[in-house]
Amino acid sequence: MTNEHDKKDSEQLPGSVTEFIGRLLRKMRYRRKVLEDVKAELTSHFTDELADCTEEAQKTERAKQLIADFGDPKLLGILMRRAKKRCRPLWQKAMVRSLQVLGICILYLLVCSIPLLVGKPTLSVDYVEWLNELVRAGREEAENARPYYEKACELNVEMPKWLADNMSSWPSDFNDAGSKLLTDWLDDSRGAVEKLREGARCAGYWANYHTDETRLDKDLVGNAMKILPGYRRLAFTMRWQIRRQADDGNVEAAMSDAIALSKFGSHLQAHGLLIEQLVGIAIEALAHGEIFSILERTAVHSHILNSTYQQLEEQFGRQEAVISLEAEKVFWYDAIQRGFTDDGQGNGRLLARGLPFVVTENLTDNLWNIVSFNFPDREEMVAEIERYYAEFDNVLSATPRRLHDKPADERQTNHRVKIAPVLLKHNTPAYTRVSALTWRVKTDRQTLLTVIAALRYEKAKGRYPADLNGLIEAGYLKTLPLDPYSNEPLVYRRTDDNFILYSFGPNLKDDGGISGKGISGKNKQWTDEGDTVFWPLPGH
Amino acid sequence: MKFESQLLKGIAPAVVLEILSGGQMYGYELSRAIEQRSGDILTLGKGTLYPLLYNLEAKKLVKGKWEKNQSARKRRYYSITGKGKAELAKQKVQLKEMTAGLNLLFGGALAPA
Repeated sequence: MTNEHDKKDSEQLPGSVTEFIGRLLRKMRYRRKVLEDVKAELTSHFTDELADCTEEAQKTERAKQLIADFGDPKLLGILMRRAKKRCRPLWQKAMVRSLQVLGICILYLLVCSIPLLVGKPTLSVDYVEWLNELVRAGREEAENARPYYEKACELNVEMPKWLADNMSSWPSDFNDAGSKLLTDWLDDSRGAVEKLREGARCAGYWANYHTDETRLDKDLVGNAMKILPGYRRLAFTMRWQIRRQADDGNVEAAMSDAIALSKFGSHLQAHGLLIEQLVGIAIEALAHGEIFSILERTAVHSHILNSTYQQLEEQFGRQEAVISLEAEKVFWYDAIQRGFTDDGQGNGRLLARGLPFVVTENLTDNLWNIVSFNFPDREEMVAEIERYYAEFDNVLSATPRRLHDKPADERQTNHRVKIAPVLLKHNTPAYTRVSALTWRVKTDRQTLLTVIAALRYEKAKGRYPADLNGLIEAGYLKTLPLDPYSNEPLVYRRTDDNFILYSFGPNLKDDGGISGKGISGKNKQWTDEGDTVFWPLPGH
Repeated sequence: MKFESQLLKGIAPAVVLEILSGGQMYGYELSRAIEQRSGDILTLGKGTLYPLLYNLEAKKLVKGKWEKNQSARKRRYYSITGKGKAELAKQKVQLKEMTAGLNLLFGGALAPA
């Protein structure tokens, strides 16, 4: 708003006036445009007031009076500032206030973030080494089956596509060309099969975990999973070996290899990472399926039945647990080590890096924690991790029937774990799915022993037992097989020349032994409807 | 005449609005007009005038804008708005009633000689 006239006026005003206006504007502290307007207005006022003064002394005296009349420049500046602020449009006032509130919030967050940013974690534990010691459990390397399995994978020849497309077939279904293809491929994979057999004879199995970088979550699972597809391929190679031997009449060798395959699967269970254990469950299930098939397709001699039963009973007896979650905790322990300080007494406070690990599914809690900076400390975090996995263990140990019969609120495991991080929950498979798989393999083991026991009974007595207690009384079975979907023994019924053995299945109902159906309409085990029939085999 | 600041404080907005109802004026002009039209009885302190004008502007009772006068000098002229006219009318009624009441209270001693 200044023009040439105004500049000239300002220059002609006494110094006291200029100084007064300057002090007033400094006290006013406002936008430059507004200050310029006020300056111009006051300058022109003083100019008008002093226009009549012809002499300097007169002008100076008059100026003094005017300045006194205006009053304290500080107070005047404050009053003018307030008044000018009121002139702002409503939207501008709202925006300014909003920005002020935002600024205060940002300042608050910044100040409260200082503890998150100050301090360093103490990486005192090498959790890769911790994990390796956990899985090895002090055993000698000679007891480890893993080198054999790794070698077997190296020696394993890729399955011909034609065989891969006929996975449900048996060698006796093939024509001459197919049989030759199978024979040649199995001959090429002989080394792999032999190594698998050697590995199965070992007492234990453990992996040697490693990471290429310092963060477990980046590489540990990836490195561990590299071998798993090879294991899967190896298992299918062994399956073809078993089938060929069975079809060739070499039932004893087929059973022996099936037991080795089952051992291979069980080696991967009850320790190590969850993904490895789940692969182990799948391999063992594959092996058991082959044993069931051999029992149904071929007339197995008593001595083979006896030998198979004893080997399986011994193998199953050595391993009660199927799934162990101890190794899974390694990720969280390492994350806690990197995300919290260490006060040397087992506790510490959260650092910025640990924030993703403390976000829970409860939005209200998360918002409150952020606003109040009330994050769990190291001890609380460790306790929550332990509680979460303890709850997971409870679910795994409860049968599906018991889980179903729990009151609805008790089924919600998460309620009991207050601050379990959302990442923890999203990075672990569904409780119930893992539990179901666990109980399937446990049931398979019992069922296999029961079926073999019944077949042995029949071989000895010429008929099947009237009920399962008959097997126990005759000494062919030690305990009744539990149906995890009824919490009662599996249902056994003798038929004319056979028997039926089944579980209620996931629908928890006794459908009278009517098998569930798969998508293709064929009988299938472990479907949502119908019973899971173990014997006779589905599809027969 | 110098009045008690609290006495003048209440009527200052009405005084300014009344002067501006006669036409737009800039600050100095307004200050002189108040003195002249009140027969030098009322004097609005300079420290009161401009904050008052800015407050009235904030309340949208007056509107200010820069204009050049004949001497090509820029001045900020203030003019009364419609809302200001309504407010002035309201305050006039109140002042009239207050004057009547005070007159009665002081037994007619407040009436002009």
